[in-house]
Amino acid sequence: MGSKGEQKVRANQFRIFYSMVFVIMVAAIMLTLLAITEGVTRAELQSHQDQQTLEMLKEIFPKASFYVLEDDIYIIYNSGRNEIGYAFYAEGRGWGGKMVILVGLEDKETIKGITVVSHHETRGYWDRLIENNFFGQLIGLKIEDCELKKKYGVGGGQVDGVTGATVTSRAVVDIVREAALEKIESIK
Amino acid sequence: LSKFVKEFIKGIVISNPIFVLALGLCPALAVTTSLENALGMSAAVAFVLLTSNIIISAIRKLVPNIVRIPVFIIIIATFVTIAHMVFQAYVPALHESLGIYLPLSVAYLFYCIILGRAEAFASKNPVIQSIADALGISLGFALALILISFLREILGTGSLSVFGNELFTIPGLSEHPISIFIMSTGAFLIIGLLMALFRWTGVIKNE
Repeated sequence: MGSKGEQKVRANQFRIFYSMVFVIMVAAIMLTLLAITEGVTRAELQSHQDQQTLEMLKEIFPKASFYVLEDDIYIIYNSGRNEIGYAFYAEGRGWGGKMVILVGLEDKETIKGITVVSHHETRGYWDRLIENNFFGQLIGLKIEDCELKKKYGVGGGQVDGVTGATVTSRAVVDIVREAALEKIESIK
Repeated sequence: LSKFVKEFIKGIVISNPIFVLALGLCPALAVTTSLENALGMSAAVAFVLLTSNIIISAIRKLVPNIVRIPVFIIIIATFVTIAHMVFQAYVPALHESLGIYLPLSVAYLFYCIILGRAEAFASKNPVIQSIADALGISLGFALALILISFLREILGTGSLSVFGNELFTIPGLSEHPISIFIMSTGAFLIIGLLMALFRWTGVIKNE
């Protein structure tokens, strides 16, 4: 009787062991399948993302035809293979949280244009910035002038802040200026 | 072969996933705003159903009973992820408009295959019959999605377009579309009315 009970326990143990091995094996096979798919689709995905980046850069540099990424700075070339500018992502805090801005520079001193990639500002205030052509003011501006005009002793730049949306206005110009001043150091 | 055909037809009419089993209403509501999305979703679902049904029915005798559900989930989730990756790489526009509902459909497929289907089907039947079952059920799903999205897109936008080509516009309706049909309320309305219509005409029978 004792050996029969033992046999039962053994069989049970084996069943649990087999089940575990089975699950692990299935998971391993499926992971391999996923890895293969990832490898096959990676090149296509990369070229698709490159295309998207180029499209975004073209909003700032309409003449851009390709770019080279070096130390997080996009060096932009036109179809004649001449350097026409630089672009990089700038990050900082706005009123509502993290703001990411793609900044384009014409040369080491002048801003070509910016595209806000993501922000958490309040909708209505953000719309005011757009209505007042706030971002248009930055085109062609010297980097050190990218600051709100002097008011109550702060600021000293050339940009008109938008009434009622001062914090957001200041955040945008400060993020752009600080990142630009930092990045031009590393542009050769 | 007659068994194959029988299983195939069964998936389309007798156990249509949307109108009869009422499974997968979440993806059906979310992606049927346009015909294009419906076609994309149907293709993804067909791929996942077919591949996982084949594998599940092939290994059905090896799977220990106590771990069958985790094993099935791993298999289904893998193929959903593969479909997701392929869409992302090759049809990015469609991938963007399907958004979260493509990976979310894993839940639907799980119910569809495991609780509704594979438990009763792929895990108990040979491979060939599972293929017929998968084809039938995905065609049933596709037809239902196409029908719903066709009505919703026409009523909600007043026009119909597939892959960027505008097929036709209805003058009058396109200027003043009934935009409720693009929202999920409209989807419920359409699905409910279609279900009622199918029961009433006797295409689908209450058992």
